[in-house]
Amino acid sequence: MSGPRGPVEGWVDPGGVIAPAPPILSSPQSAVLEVPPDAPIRVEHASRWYGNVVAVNDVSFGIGAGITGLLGPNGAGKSTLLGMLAGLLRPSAGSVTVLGRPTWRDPGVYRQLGLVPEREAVPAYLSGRRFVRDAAALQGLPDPGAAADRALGIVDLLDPADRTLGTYSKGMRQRAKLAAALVHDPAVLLLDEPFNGMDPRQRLHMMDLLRQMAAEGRTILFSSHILEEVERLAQQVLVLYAGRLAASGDFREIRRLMTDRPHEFTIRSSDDRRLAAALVAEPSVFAAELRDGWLIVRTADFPAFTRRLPVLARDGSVTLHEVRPTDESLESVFAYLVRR
Amino acid sequence: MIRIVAAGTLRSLFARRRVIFLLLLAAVPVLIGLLARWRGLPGEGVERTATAIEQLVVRAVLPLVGLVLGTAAIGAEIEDGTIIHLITKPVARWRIAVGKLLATTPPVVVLVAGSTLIAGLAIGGDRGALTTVLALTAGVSLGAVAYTFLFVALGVLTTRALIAGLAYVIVWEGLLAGLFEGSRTLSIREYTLAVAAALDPGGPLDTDLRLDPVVAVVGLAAVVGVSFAVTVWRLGRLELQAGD
Repeated sequence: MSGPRGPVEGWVDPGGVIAPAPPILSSPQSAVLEVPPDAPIRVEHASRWYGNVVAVNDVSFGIGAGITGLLGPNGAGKSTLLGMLAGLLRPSAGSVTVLGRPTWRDPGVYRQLGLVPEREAVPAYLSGRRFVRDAAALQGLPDPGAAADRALGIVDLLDPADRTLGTYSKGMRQRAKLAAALVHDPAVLLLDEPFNGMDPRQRLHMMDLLRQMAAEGRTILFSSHILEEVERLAQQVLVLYAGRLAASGDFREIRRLMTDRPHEFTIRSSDDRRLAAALVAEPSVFAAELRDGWLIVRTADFPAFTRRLPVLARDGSVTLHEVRPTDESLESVFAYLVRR
Repeated sequence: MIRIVAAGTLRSLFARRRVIFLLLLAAVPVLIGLLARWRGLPGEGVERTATAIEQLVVRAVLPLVGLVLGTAAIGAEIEDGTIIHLITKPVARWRIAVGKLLATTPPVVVLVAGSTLIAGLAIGGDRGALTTVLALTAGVSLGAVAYTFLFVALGVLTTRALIAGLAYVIVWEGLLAGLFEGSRTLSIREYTLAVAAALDPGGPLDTDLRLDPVVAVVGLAAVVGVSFAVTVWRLGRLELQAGD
């Protein structure tokens, strides 16, 4: 196996990212730095549009070894970005390289690149073993059968390997695709929504597997629209929203920004007026209003507010009937990151 | 690598129900030929054999078998998304095209040439039509190669390959080629018949309406060459979505 291995510091970290077009989440070291030329994955001012629709808009980043999560709501442009990285889509502008090679129209790049597409389509008439063996043979491996068995063993599919893919569950097909993608031991692995359709046990198994592969020095980029998946697996994260890179860097930093953003709660209690009076005196609350029989509260400090609210209600002898975050969808979180 | 692509394509082509449909389609001329023989239809044996093969095989079975298998070779995999597992391998696009065509062309040739030979022999094999039948079999074989290459290319060019292919066969070859003499020079059917006529001089197919055999052979070679080039070119620029 060739290609850069081992940890490379600061590539996805905001300090090491080519600054994407604003707005991007800034960091203390958000100086515009060049992506190291040997970064396994480099994306520079890449855009992709379909007619008048811009799917990916002037995105730049570099990714080093380890697991990076590509997070964003459905329709954010994750699959388009992965498609460009995988050489399946031509960038309308900018450049996309993997291990120093432009991925578009260069089949040779697949010797070092594995892709697990989101699309479920697999040849239903092939057995799992034949499917992975063909992948190994097309990679030109000297012993495709042995390589296939090794890959099937890694994804825990040896037992049902002789069944046709048409009889597999969605999670099993996902693992078969993963086996085919890693049969040639690639340095870079791209996975589009890899946990879709997996049960919790399979999900954990897949996460362990990806961690192990990352520990061996591979560069792994996976997309997800589920925050918890990214949180559990990725050290680094790219947040894509409406085709733009909304944030990039260490997951904990981005998580903190998500948590610290202004939150709005809708509260119904036995005495909204008294509760509002108590809340506005709290440093964590910057607005409270009574509207349509509800108490609307805005806070900049989510943890402090959730700790203080029940205390204030108890002290004021107010009964809380309902406390509801107004807009906690992931979409609104991403929108907030983009607005910053 | 070409061998692996070809083997995968063969598995794909024959793993589905379409093979039953194609076998039935190829069997139709044979059954009609056997029926004609059994009923002892009147008429001149050679003439009747040539007409039956032209109407049944050259005009119907040949383009239909080529269309179904040709568009399935790559087009069906693009349509159902399974092509992604081939495209994301370090295989030159021309090798993929060669593998696909190597797997697809022989079955088309075997089906239509077999159908021509058996049906032709059944109808007029013992009535002096042997030369005509062999000439038609040779012509149909070359036509099968050309149709396959054309429809494989069409399958990579458009997701409406079946409709586009049917339009070519029915509208261009079926209607326009009969109305305008010039359009016959761009018709695989006419190339097929011209080759067969040239191999059976003085036979029932050898009429003034036939194209010059040189034009036919050059036309067949051009269809094969251009279709192959288009297939490779389009495969190299094929865009796919990784996700739904």
